[in-house]
Amino acid sequence: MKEKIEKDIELSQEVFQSLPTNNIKNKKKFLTEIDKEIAHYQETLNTICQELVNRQKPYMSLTEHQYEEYDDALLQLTKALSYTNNLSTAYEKLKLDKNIYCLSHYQNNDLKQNNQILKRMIDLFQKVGIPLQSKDFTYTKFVTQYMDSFFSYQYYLDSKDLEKVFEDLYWKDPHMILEIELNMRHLYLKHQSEFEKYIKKTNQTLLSHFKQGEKNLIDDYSYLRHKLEQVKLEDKNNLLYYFVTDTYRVGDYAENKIEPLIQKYFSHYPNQQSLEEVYQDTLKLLHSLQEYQNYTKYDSFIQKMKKLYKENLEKNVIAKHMKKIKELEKKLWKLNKKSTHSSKKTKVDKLEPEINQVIQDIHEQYTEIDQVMFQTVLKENIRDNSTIFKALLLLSQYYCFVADLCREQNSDITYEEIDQIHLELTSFVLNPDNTMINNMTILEDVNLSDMVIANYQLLGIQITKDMLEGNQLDLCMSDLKKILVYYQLQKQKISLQSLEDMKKIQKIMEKK
Amino acid sequence: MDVEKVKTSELIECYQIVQNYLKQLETEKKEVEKELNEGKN
Repeated sequence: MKEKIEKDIELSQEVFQSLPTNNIKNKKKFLTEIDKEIAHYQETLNTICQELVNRQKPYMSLTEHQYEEYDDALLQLTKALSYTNNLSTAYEKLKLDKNIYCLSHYQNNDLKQNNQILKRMIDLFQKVGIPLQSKDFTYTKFVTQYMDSFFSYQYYLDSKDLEKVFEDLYWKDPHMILEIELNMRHLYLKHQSEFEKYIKKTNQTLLSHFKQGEKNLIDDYSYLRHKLEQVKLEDKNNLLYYFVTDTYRVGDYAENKIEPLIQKYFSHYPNQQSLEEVYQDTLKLLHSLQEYQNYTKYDSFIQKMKKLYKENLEKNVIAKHMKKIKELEKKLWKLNKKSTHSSKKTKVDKLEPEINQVIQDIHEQYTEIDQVMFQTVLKENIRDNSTIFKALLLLSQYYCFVADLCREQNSDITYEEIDQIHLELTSFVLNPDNTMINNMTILEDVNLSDMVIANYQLLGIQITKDMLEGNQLDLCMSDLKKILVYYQLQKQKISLQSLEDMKKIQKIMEKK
Repeated sequence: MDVEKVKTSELIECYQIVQNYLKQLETEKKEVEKELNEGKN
């Protein structure tokens, strides 16, 4: 076709060169002829263009697969694993710890957020079979009054009336949110055994689907993560979609680019190593580098845990604080009974300073508990031969400690950012392809980069210390991902020519 | 014209050749139109 078009054009050019334009009449005739020729070639162009559009349609209609079903299933399994493990209590498993943490940082929240946190906790109690009422909130009279209104407006938390009630009471009792938080903590402790029973029952139901209990859950989780990785790698739709959207560039996969890239890491390719073998080793290496990168990312968390594990901790420290809290709360109930204070009266209650002091003391006790809670849990669950995996798994069950560690690094961090870090940490810990953290103990001081280099040098893969540093590591991982993509292109018989053509048509369409 | 059987890479080349020739024709047309208008004036 190209040859025919070229010949036709050549002929057409000759005709127009021979047409005279020496006078008006000839010029007019020339214009009539050239208009006919333009119309003819425009029609040819339209026909070609339509065919190119037709061929481009399958690419243009591609949408990215999101794998939501896998993500949902993994989320459910992660949740089930956090329920069934024996590393945390119902307080953490049901996320009361997280809600209390958010409420205790109420300065960062607006009233609507605080009310939502409160509602979530009340709903959790309801779920466990404990329907809370305003009479359960007895820390102060202001707390009881606010909760009275809160329960009336619990389905209308945006209500201006509720806001007004809060404002009125807040001026009389600026510590009201703290008091609600302490009251919530008290209610959890009062109903702790019911919460534990609820978790036990839920776990029985969860594990009844599995013959081998928690082990099956872990196996299912690992299977699903591997399956998801494989499905993603082999997804032809997304592979093409990423070329259409320029996430992948066709030029990167040309032989003169990809062959030297493979040989940079795999010197035996292609003479002594097939592309299939390179692919398998690339996957292994990429997993190791991802693990190394994550380890580096959470290194400050790991170091903090190591420090806490080594440090001495007073015996039964939490029990001592809890005993003190019980005594202080008894005192508070007595004072509240005696108190003549009414929010409607202008007269200041003479017991108010004493009540405030007791509340302050209770708050201090809880603050001290919060400070030693994770260290206590760490010392209860970790031994000298426990692995970094176990320590990180433990950490992932304790939102408050993760949040504190995040805040140590960035005091302006938002709850959403903490949630994201927590989610990523959990995903890292549960990654079935981790090998190093599953074998390093909490007391070991291993140079992980040396470990990675030595291991892969044994397999004949060239990895240097420089490649594992900073941006070089990202670059190295990006190289390895290119090798994986190249393998899939070969395996799925997607020619670079077809991709180049697709990109050219894309450019033509953009210019039109 | 039976474009369906033509390879995509060849079709793209054809598109570019025809597009270039159309541009050439348009230029020539403009030149003659200009001459015609100048002559009239």
